[in-house]
Amino acid sequence: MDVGIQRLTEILMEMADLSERSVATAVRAYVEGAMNPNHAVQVKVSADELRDHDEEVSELAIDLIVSYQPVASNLRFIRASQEISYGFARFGRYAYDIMQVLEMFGDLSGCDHEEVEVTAKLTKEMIRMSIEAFAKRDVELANSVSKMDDFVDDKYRSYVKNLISQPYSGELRCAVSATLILRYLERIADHSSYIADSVQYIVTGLRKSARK
Amino acid sequence: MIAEELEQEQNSGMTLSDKSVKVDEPLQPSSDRLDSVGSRGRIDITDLSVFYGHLQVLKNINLAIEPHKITVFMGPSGCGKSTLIRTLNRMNDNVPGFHVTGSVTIDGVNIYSRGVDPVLLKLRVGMVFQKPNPFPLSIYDNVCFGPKIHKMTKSKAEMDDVVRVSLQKAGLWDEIKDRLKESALKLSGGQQQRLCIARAIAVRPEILLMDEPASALDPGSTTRVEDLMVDLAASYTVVLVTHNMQQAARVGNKVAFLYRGDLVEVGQAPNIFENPTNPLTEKYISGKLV
Repeated sequence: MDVGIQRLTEILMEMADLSERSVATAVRAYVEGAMNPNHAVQVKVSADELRDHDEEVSELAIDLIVSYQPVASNLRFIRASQEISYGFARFGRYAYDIMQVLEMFGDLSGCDHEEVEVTAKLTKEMIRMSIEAFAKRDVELANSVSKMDDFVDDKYRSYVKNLISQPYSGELRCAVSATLILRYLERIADHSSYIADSVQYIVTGLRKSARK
Repeated sequence: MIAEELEQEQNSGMTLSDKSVKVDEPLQPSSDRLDSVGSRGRIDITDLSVFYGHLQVLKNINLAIEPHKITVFMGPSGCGKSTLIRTLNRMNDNVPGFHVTGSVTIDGVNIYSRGVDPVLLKLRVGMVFQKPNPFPLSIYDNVCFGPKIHKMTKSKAEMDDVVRVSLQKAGLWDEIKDRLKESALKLSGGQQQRLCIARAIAVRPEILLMDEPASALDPGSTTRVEDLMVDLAASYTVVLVTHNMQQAARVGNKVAFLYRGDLVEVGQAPNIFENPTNPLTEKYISGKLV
């Protein structure tokens, strides 16, 4: 059991690193306005690797449950590892989706990137904090991630509301691409928050609904 | 009395000599119909300490056992769980040096008070043991053994009814209804255990104590006995001792963890197995308590 738990931890930390780098690469590509084909390939490969790792985590988790019928903290960790792994896999997928926007819209260097940059900075911080919370089993840090999620949600909603409530003077492709990317960042923030919830569950044994 | 009979007495929870005991105590056998669902069978254990001579094996136990639920006692060997379950129907009374302080009440009556007859108590609190222990009698006679001793039926037809319903409740009727006159010893291990459960039910108890009832059975028989426990909990208060934590998680409503005579933690089964509050409980259920 202990060997299996250790292996799960290793895979999750590997996924954490890969997914964090992947999101950073995608966001940087958007801010720079143009897609580097090598980066696009790198993000795609990472997304596939993350999905494979997610399956690996699921299989190992089921294997541990069947073989050892874990209870208490081991059970909580194994259960949470599947949720966390899925979160990391989603980071990879959304990074890929951002790269797809760049591919679809072409050169976006002339667009105003401020909203995305601010939101991306927050989102990357949430990713970093959720990973650190997981690595250190830090409930307070995990709690901070959950609180930040509301702010990212607001950024996305207010951007869309502004777009639809007043005439837009800029290029349509800038508005649409920014909306899509903000949406992906908002989803990444959600999954960071889910990971933080899972960390709190591992440590306290209480799900979010029970903690309220 | 031959040794075999003595052993059967001890393991059946009723003694052949019980036949002669006068019945005039406040704990009366249930008058409910055999197939009825009563609301009685609540056990309250308060400040209970148990001693064998100078050796204290249970320390100040406080626990409420609710009617029609399955309460599981678990803990490492020697923690006192078997002593505790046997204390609930005074099976330890004849152990030299055995004495208790505190109280065990069933529906408000302290079973260790002077007026309580251990024989009548055992009618209300049945026991099933680890090893199936059918008497070397027919299947029918095993089930009617208790009701016959205690003159609980007035006619052959009524006794037939008791046997049938008991075997039905034990999930055995369909398998052996055409073999009632055959020796119980011809049954498989799992069937024998369900027969012992039928025998315990036949005297209309309100509480069933089960001391590792499936530990000597194969996986299929274990599943049947576990399903049976859940069914029985609709009609009886079930107290189960088991070393099998997955079994405790599957069938238990409430789980009590004992360690070295102390009641360490009590909780709903899912909570105990997912999020125990005491580090000792976590160590035990994780197999790390040495």
